[in-house]
Amino acid sequence: MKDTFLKQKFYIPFLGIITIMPWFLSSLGQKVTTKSISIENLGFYQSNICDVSFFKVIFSNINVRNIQFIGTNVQDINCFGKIMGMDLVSGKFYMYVGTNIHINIFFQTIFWIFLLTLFLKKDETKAQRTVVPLLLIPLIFTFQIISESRFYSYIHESYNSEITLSNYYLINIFLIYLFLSILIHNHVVPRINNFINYFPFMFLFVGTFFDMNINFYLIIFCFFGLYNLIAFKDYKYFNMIYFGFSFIWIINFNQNGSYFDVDKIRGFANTTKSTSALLFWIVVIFLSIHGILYLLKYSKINLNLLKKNFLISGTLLFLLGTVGSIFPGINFYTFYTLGLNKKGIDKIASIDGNTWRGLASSAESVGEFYAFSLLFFFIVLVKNKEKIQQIEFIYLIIIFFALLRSNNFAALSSFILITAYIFLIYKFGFNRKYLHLIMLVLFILAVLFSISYFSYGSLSKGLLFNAFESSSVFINTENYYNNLRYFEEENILEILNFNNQSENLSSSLLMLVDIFTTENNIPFVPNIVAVVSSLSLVINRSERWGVFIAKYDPSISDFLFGYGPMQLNEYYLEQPMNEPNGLLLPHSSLLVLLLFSGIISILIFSFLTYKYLIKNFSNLGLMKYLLVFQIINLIKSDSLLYLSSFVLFLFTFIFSTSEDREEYSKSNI
Amino acid sequence: MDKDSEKIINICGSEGDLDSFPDIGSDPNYVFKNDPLFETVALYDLEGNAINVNSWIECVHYVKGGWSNNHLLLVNSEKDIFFFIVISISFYFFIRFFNKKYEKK
Repeated sequence: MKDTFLKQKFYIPFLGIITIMPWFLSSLGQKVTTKSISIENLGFYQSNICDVSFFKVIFSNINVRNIQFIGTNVQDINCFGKIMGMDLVSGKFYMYVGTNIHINIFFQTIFWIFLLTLFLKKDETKAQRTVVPLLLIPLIFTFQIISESRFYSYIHESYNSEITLSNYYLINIFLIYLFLSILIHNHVVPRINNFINYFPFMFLFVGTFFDMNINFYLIIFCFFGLYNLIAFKDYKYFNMIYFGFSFIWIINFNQNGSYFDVDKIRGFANTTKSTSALLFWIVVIFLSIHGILYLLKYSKINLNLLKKNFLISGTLLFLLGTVGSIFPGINFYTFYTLGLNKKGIDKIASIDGNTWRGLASSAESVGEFYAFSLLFFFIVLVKNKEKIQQIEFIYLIIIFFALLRSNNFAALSSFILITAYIFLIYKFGFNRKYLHLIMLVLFILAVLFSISYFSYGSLSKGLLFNAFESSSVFINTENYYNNLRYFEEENILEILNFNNQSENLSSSLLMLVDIFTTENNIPFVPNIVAVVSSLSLVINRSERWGVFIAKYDPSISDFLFGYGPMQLNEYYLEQPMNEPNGLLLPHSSLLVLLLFSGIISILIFSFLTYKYLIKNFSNLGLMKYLLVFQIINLIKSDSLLYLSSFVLFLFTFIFSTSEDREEYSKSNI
Repeated sequence: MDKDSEKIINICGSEGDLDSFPDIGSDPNYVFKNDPLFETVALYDLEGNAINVNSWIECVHYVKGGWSNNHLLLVNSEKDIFFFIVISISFYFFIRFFNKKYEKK
């Protein structure tokens, strides 16, 4: 496809037409008249199944806000894009739109590849082409359909995992993945030099296939992961360690076929507890990491382009989220077209603690993205000694407003503090020693304020209190008062004897109680549990981490090596507890790392951070502050569970700790 | 119990009384109320159309009208989709082939 076949100003309208085409085609030849969405016509839409097109309903009911469109998988291709029923629940209409698993992947594949082809310019690349991924990628990803049987049989009535020539369900999936591999080979490989410069758009075009548990970019990364393995013999230590971990994960695995509802982390987490699914995710994460490293190696990073793309994607993410929250039709359209993990929010007003996530599946991760975009902008501004352009000023205001709406206080405050630090030191030449002294004094004051505000008792025991609160010990009792009484009377060990339920407590909770109540404390050194508890309370994570401790019940081996990549079943489903409803994630990427690859991986990560960031801090350029920002935020958020945030972290780590002094020396003032 | 009643109970359960089942007929304006205690059942007609029913009355109404949860009755488009995909991929290669020829000229 030629780069110049379409002028740039026509890109957006052209892409718009492509995305509405399948819905428009399904509206042709409609025999019944489209009616308005109202209580009077509820019976009409319940009786006329597969007769009315979604496209026509949208345009006939542009002013109706009180409705939610839900995709439903249909077997008959003629029902694609048709209304499959309507319900009225608690005063709100729910209208079912026919979609089809094969058509969805096929259409989304073509659209997203087309998008990459239009925006990423072709460039001379040194990449050695190989046909190996063309065969392996379809095999690996078709294998997922078989291995995650619980998930796929649930979403598709005629799910069939038998490997036969008459099983068109599986053959179609294989063919589409084969076609996707061919398209990557023909259209993405010649553009890999530019890929990283456009990766901020991963937050907008999330790329999760509709109704499926796989992400478009994951396939691309695996494709290039195979390139990396074939072309380079680098990363020997990583390969050896990963192989060793994989061996332990498989040996320790207890297959029971349990089903984990991935909800907002769809496309980047395992659903079915089976050995084959574990194997699939081990291979996919291994290849993806190699693929991202390969793309970073080949990309010619253009700071100004990257800065611009962060601003544009952040702005569009907020604006489209706002429009989608007002118009239900656009909400469904963005869900489908952008490949969102979860449907965008359908209210313009904030919810739950005043957060507003817009199109993103998590307000926390999108808040980090907005703050990162702003920080990146200001770092490039200082580094290149530039001035803010008019259009950039508009972008900045919109993104800052979006950041405020996401209500991510940690991201907002760390962004402001780091930006202020950079400006004071690098722009205004403030004395570094004085600034550090001021920061130290402020830190001590903050600690003293926290102790006086929360009381020492709450700070040191808050985490354990919340862990017991979420555990199964006080189920069917007046738990709050029981729990509180034991803590007030400083008799925590007695809880273990309550109702003889201590054997139901998680091993992590028992271990923390043991550490907290030990009589062998070193004088004048605070207990580690009390320190973590204080931190958790100050950063508003006491409750969430308490839930984690109540749930996390590892064996010694699980604690050392984790359950395996993207494996949440055992953590989430197998420990009885008194928990609130909904998907409760660990709310710390360190805890996510602990779940997936154990304490050893945290030690390895700490060593790498020390080696490449802390030890080398004064030699690195301004971009190191991006990594500082990421590490601070990832301690209290589980953003690494989202593919786009995972890529952002890898990018930041490698980009900011790069040894290329030439590039960064300019910023070392 | 006649065969139809047995089929209805198999698909929809035995929550209500079939003898006093209301005559909904083919009134397109009849509104089925959702029963939050009723587990949604997917029903299919002979043409492969699917519908999710959310109350026992709605379920019985559709099963009486010939709808079933039997997957064997489905019109499955997977074979059609297979041909659609094959034709689309062939079309892609066709365009690519002529595009390359055009570029060479």
